[in-house]
Amino acid sequence: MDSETWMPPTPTADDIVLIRRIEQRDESALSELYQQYGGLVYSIAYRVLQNSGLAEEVTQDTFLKVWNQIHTWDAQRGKLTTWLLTITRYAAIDRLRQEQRRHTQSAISIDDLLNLIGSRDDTDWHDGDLIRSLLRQLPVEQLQVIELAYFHGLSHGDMSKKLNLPLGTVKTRVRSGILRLRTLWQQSVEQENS
Amino acid sequence: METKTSQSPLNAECEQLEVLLPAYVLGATDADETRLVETLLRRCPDYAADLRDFAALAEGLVYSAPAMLPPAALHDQIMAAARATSPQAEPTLRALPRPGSTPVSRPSRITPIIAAVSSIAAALLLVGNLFWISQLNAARITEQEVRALIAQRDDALVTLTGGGELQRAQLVSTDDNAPFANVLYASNFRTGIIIGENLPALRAGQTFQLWLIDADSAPISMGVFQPDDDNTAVYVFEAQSPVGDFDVIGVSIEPEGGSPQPTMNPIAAASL
Repeated sequence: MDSETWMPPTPTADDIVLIRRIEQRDESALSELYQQYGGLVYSIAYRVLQNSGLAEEVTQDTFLKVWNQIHTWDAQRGKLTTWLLTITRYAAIDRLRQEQRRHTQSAISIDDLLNLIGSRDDTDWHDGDLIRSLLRQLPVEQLQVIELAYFHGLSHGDMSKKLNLPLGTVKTRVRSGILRLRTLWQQSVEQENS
Repeated sequence: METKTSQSPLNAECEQLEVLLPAYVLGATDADETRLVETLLRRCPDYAADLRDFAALAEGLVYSAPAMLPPAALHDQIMAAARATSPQAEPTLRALPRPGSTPVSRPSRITPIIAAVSSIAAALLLVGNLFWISQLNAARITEQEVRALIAQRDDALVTLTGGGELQRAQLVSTDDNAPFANVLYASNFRTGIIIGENLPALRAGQTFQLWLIDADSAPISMGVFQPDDDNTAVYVFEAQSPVGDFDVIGVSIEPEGGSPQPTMNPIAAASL
């Protein structure tokens, strides 16, 4: 399987040069990084938090983390985008947990979930289109647990409590959802190659 | 796959891995399940390809976020905030990490553990601490390296060693009491340093987070740190009040960037 179909281009020489410039505290390099990935970082933060103010804060925190912790990026271990988006997702999930401690929040509704997948689909990111189209083909109960695990940072046990479902049911839904997603992905790759 | 050909104990274990792997890449496994998966991944190499597939799939999920336009002013806000955190924008002493911030920046060509041990050891030579002189020797660094590092880190060293009596405590694993790291601090100072060797491996997206704890309040984050490739780490932290005011120092594993409060019990701790 060609996993690269999901991802933006692998780190280019320009990416590495950009990182080196940030290491040297070149503010224009941080600005370029933001111009390149700011929209994506903000979109992911918004996807998790569903709040523009909080997404803005997480976006700022993410880029400041890159600025202050650039030495922790290792080109051998992963792509720049993977690192940046992992920081974003975890920062957003952390922020979501903070907010949830302050406010009681109900489980995400199916309607909200379908809106998240289906609305505002005006992106020209090819890979984003692909994953969204695959997610839309999943049964909603599988989509729901994938959403809760990946974008809300919930474990099997957390989801079982939140959804008031037996633990085994949650585990089955997570596993079935990912396996189904993989099958759909393989089929789409095969179609693209045929 | 092993699991489809026979029913040996190993295959039963690999079957467990097969069941948990999809949830693992999503981050949906509970702590025990996560440990189990990470153990079984070493025993069931046939599942490496599955892991790669699922991990790629999980990475792809992040791109499902519908495109949103950030506020136009955000770029300038970030640049202003970055400028404010630039080392040259602050007095040198303020370059010490604060709770939740990054470890001290690393000089190139010298590993961080040597760098930090060098700094401490060099400073402690000034106060005649024989214990740390032996640490310096153990680190096998050159005099030239020590001098170079002293020049860069004088302020931190003054903060760490400028007064009070240095104390050492050993953080041990809360699972089996195995040594995890040493902490050096002076009771009446707000700064301390953690030195860890043979630290456990972290998953991608995870970090160690250091906490100071007293009986009367919630744990206070002293920031996050990562082990190096050789599973060592040196991390200088700075508290809002003297380290000696706290009862316990602990380390938990948290998502990258750290958590406002620990999301798990400490994996290692020491009394102060």
